[in-house]
Amino acid sequence: MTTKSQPVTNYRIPLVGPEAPDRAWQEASRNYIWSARHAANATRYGVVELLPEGVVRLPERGRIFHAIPAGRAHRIEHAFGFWRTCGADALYIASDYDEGVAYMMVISTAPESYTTDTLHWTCPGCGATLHSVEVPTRRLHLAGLTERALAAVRAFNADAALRTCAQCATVHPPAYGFEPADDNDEERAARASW
Amino acid sequence: MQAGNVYYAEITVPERLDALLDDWDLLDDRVIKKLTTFKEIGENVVGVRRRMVTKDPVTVLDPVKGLLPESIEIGPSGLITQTHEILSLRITVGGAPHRVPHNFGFWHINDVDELYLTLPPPAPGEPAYFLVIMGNPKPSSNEGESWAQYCRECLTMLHEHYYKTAQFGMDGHWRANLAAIREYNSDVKFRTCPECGHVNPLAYVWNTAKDTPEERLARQEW
Repeated sequence: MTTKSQPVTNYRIPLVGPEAPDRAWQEASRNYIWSARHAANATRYGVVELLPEGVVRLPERGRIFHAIPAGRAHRIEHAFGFWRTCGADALYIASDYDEGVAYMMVISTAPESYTTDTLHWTCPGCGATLHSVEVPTRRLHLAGLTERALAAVRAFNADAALRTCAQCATVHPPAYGFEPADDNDEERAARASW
Repeated sequence: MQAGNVYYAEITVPERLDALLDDWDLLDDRVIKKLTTFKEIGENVVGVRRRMVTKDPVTVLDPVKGLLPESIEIGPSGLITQTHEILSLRITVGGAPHRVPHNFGFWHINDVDELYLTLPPPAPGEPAYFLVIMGNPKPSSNEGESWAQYCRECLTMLHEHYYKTAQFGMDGHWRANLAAIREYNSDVKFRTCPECGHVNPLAYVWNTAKDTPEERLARQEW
């Protein structure tokens, strides 16, 4: 028998250290995985969820492991600039470490019920829905979801009417997509601000 | 959807969160006790172990099982060893036989992916958090798992018991696993390789409390 040092699938995804990207979405086997890290003194990513009772923000803790059930709209602030309602459960993990904070979100694509993601924006003034886009993620996979999300963001940003609430006239700030590398100047500024 | 300021009132008070979201932090002291084996959390099954972990070299010390230095998969070219560094995600892809020496004495072949992540300890000298995440097969699916034995010399499969997790659930998992291991241990013919004649040591289950004296010795051996 032989012993090798590399796993056959190579699914070793470091969240910290020189091999780890600052932020990345990737598809690994039947999972979509978001990972990120930052220095201890940087602004933390915040997870917010839309419940009938209001916006729930997870408190900051040294480590947290949280399940967001399929069908619940949620955002990771500074990671994607829209409410995402995923067709599968999302598991969110954050942990302090020696040099800062590391994050991971795992979404399994295995459940047959996971066919779509819905991206939407709500009025920051009154909560009315402004615009919504459904993406057939089962067919498009992560790369397609990322592309469709960016296209939806750009359409939203380009159309003041979409961003203006018909009920209270509040104008939603510009949005941003999943990948910081894709940001234009407007999206980069938006990512930094909300 | 709520109107006006109510909509943007952010709910961050832990007691309020507890009322709205069950067990919203799985690492909370109150919740983590429920995850020492495995617990169904929606579409996933989750377990959390507290173990001492060192960085360089990477070693894992389980308070009951002792040193668990590595995990092993069987790949196309043979055995593949893996370590579990802190904050490095590992995925055992569905279908890959895998085991952790001294932790469970069989090869686990799961239809669903298994993800492992170790989080740092809260303070130096305290145990780290070892997270195990895997899919929770829906009853409508056909997914399950096998507990297999391979010849330790030539990797010929000697014994396999399939358990249809999607149909029978996690509740029956432990009992069925124990029965499979005891069947394998019951007759030396199961442990004797038809290809090379090697005789494997006894098998053992994950839970040390179930070990017979002979299985306890086997756990120390492999």
